[in-house]
Amino acid sequence: MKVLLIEDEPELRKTIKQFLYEEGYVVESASEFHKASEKISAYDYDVILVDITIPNGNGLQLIQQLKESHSKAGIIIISAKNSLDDKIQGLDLGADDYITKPFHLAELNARIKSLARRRHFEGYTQLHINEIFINTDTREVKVNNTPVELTAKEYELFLFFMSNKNRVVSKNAIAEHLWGDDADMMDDFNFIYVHIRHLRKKLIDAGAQDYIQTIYGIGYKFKV
Amino acid sequence: MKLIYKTLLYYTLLLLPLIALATLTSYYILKNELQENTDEWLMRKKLNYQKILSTKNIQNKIFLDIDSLSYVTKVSLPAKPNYKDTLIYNAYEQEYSPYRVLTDYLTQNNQYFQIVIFQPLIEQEEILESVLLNTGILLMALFLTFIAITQIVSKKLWKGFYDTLQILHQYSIQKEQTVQPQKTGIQEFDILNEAISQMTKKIHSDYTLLKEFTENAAHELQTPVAILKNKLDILIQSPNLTENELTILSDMEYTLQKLITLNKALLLIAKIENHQFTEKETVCINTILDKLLSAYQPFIEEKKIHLSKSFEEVLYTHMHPHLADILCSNLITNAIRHNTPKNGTIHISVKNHTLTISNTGINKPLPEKNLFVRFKKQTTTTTHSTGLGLAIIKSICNIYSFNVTYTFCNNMHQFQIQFDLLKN
Repeated sequence: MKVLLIEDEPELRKTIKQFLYEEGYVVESASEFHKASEKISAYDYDVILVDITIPNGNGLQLIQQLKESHSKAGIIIISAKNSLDDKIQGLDLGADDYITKPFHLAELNARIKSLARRRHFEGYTQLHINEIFINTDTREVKVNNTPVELTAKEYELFLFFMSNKNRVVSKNAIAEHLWGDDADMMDDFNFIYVHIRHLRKKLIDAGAQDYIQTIYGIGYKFKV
Repeated sequence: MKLIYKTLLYYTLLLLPLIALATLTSYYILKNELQENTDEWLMRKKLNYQKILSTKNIQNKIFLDIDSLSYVTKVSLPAKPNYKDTLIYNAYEQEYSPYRVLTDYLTQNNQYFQIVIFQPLIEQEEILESVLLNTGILLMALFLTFIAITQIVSKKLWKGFYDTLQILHQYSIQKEQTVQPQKTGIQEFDILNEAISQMTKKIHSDYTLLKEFTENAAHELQTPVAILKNKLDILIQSPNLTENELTILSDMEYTLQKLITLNKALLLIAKIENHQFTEKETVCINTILDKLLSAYQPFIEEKKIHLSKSFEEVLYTHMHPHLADILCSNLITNAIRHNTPKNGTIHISVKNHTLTISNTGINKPLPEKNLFVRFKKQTTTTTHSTGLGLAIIKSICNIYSFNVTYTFCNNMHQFQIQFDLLKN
């Protein structure tokens, strides 16, 4: 998948680019408005990550540009502002998602993959890992032919793992994915242990292997 | 003591003795004048008598007047004329009357005669007393008039000053007013007002800069923090990390998350106080509460908290919807977070346009003094609490003038917010 990252902060750009590359994306980047605009008009991308506070222009204008040229790219807005107005405006203009800094890379990954699925890139609606099948349209999970009943949170958790295969995902990242801003309500990460325990059990009971590995102190890895 | 009264006091203390002095002085001057007049008159009378008597032959004492006082009599030796005051008993009025007496001498046919002339002073004295009284009364009346005029004029003159005082009294840096008092027409007050106006302008701009700085600083912090977060994401991927290293990384992630939460809260407060949330809508507090309670259901259940609600009315209020959300959410999350580890209680009630939320928790009241002040944490919990939750609640209540109070009763910590009656 071809991704364009439009981000002016150099360290951040470097880190995200590196991460995306490791996840198997083809990545290009631009650090200010005019360069970004050129790239958009010259090339096609599958997913565009736009930081709306880039210099020399407003990221929202880039979204407009994309829509006007009938681009099929999926657009994710990256913003430091957490401004409701920007969010509404951006989504109204045609962006597909909105993520606020600071975010976990695992979260960004999950959003990109989710966007790709929604746009039916590369047939992402039917995921399968070995014996596990997921239909993201119907939210059905099957191990071989046995359906697995997952709660909403368990399903989200599972999808999160699937999107971040073979990566260590911190407890914090999981908490933020599942509960958003309410994540800081939790005194400890008991909730997460509980959800993971349930998810694991349900999958194993249905005949799957144990893919969820506990990484001491930090979190988990969905090892395939 | 008020300026006017002090002024009048000084005037009184200084003027009254002066008035007394003036009155006495004029009394004595007048008395002297009268006395001189009387003496001159007595002398003229003596000369007159002298003329008349020169044609007569005086043998013995003869009375010169029907009052049987003034007389002429033979003496052996003359002396210098002398004037003196004396009192004569008046049998008719049964009292003593004052007289001025001239005792002088004349010669006739080589005989010496003493002539004593009496002049009644009673009328003079009465006139004198009358004048004295009138002068006194007049001066006192002038004095009192002066006091009265001073009071009236003073009120008028100082009005500008009192208006300025009133403005200052109501001045609040939070309300961000600049003061522009009206021209008073009195130079000193106009100068004062101008100085105050300049001062408040400067305060306002300094304060605005300070708040913008706070908001900008919090905003800028987000980028390096985002970088750290992502670097950690990458670092934890390293294979062969020892348990010790993993623990450190976990602690770093936890601490970083606290930093992020803290910064977000600070940014929110800065934005609230910078009036970034000016739009208002009619919001239904009950709906918001229900929505939040449902979202927090898992956390409430996990801590086995017993939740009871008593919504006796539907509370509508006029505020920014996002702030309404934050307000209610902070109250509820506090009630959950600072509750007893298990089996606590939360009670939420809506009644009389007031939202009350109480929870069990620590068994003693929270110190009220710094309760809503930023960063003053009341407990030593290890939660993600930033100490800003209540400060945020207070900030929001401040802009809408909602009254927020805390009480500790029946072993429950109770927070109450009195919303403004919805203005239609």
